[in-house]
Amino acid sequence: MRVAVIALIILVNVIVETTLFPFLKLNGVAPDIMTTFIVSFGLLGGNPIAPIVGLIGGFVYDMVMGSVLGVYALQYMLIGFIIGSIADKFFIGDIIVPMFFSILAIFFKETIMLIYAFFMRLDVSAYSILIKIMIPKAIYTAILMPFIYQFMQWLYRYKFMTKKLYFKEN
Amino acid sequence: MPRLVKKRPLFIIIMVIIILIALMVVTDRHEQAFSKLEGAIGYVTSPIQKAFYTVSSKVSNFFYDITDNRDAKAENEELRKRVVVLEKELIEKNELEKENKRLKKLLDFAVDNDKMTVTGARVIGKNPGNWFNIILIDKGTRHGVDINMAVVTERGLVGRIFQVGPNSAKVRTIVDGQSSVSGIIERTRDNGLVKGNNDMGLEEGMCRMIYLPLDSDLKPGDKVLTSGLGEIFPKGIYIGEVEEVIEEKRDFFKTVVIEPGVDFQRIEEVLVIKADNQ
Repeated sequence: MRVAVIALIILVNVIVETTLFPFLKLNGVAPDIMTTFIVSFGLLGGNPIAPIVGLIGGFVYDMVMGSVLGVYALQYMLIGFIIGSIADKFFIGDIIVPMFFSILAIFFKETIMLIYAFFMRLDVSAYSILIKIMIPKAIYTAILMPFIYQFMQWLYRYKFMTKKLYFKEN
Repeated sequence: MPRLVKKRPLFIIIMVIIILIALMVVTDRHEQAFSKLEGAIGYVTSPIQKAFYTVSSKVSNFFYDITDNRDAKAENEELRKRVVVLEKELIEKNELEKENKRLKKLLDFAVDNDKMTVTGARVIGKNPGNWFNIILIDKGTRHGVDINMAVVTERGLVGRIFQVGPNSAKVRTIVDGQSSVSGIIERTRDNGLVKGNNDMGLEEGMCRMIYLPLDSDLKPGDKVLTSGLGEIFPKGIYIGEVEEVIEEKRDFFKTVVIEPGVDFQRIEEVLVIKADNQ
């Protein structure tokens, strides 16, 4: 059941982001809903579910709309892993902490893209990216974060979502 | 190794990171490396994307319409379309005339009219991010579409197909940071390379034409066309208009900023050039 729900979330996410969101751009920037879901999985489910969802979601995104395979998978997996690793060290309320993590996640994601752009020899300016992409995208995504987080909290009330997975410690 | 096993989650993550980086390198060098897998995913998602994109586009256009005076906008739109068509016809005519003169002079034979085999396709998805300017179209190998085919609209060059599945294909637009197209300034016949700029530079959604000779007499408003070098894009397709000429003292070449003819925000239908029988 959990696999089906996660697969559906990823599929709907990818479709909505590639069809609806290009029309919802504000100043050329669209929110990143996939990040809000991965952050929510990290905060509510921890590891290893968050990096797994990030890896699969990113991979599907790479295949549907990416330029090369692995860029989005790497970003989303790392976001899931890092937030999943530190989530239990924080008291997580309903709004502020999830919003804060979504902002951090966007900054982290765009920094990875900046590194990718460097290796691809793309002509980009870090300052321009910070002003034009990172900050507006972080704000736009953070505004949507409480709604997604509420939805994920509702989903996590069901037992099938909280069934223990493992990154088995030997 | 025992320590690695103890820290297994981190070990797994590091291994996956290495695999993903390797995958990026492979797919960057061989764009078709995983096309079957991507095609399979596209097979599932493209019909849904097509429906969603059509609805989203219509809703967006509806809100766009009601913000403007409808009558004035319709008339304006009609006139703009007419200007675009006439400009395109004029450019094509000029290009043909110039080509005719050159070839007649050199080889003394008549030049056939441009005839291209094209197929229409609908845009069914776009990358919403700012790093890639990629669009997804609803035609694939089943419709005779293949990689490196040029994609155009009535306003000019859109880009080239770089990955193709059975029912869909990804198009790297000319404004994508990884795109480069051989271009020629219509008036001066100077050749250069048109590079995409994504949304990241100072010129949002623009292209840059680089490696133009220092002695070239370039002016804002000059038309830029494909030069046909590289054999991917047919010669003479309109790319855009020179917006600004940049001449840095330390550079050995001139650079121009180009405003593409195509409106990539509102692109809905495109033509894929399957064969160029020039």
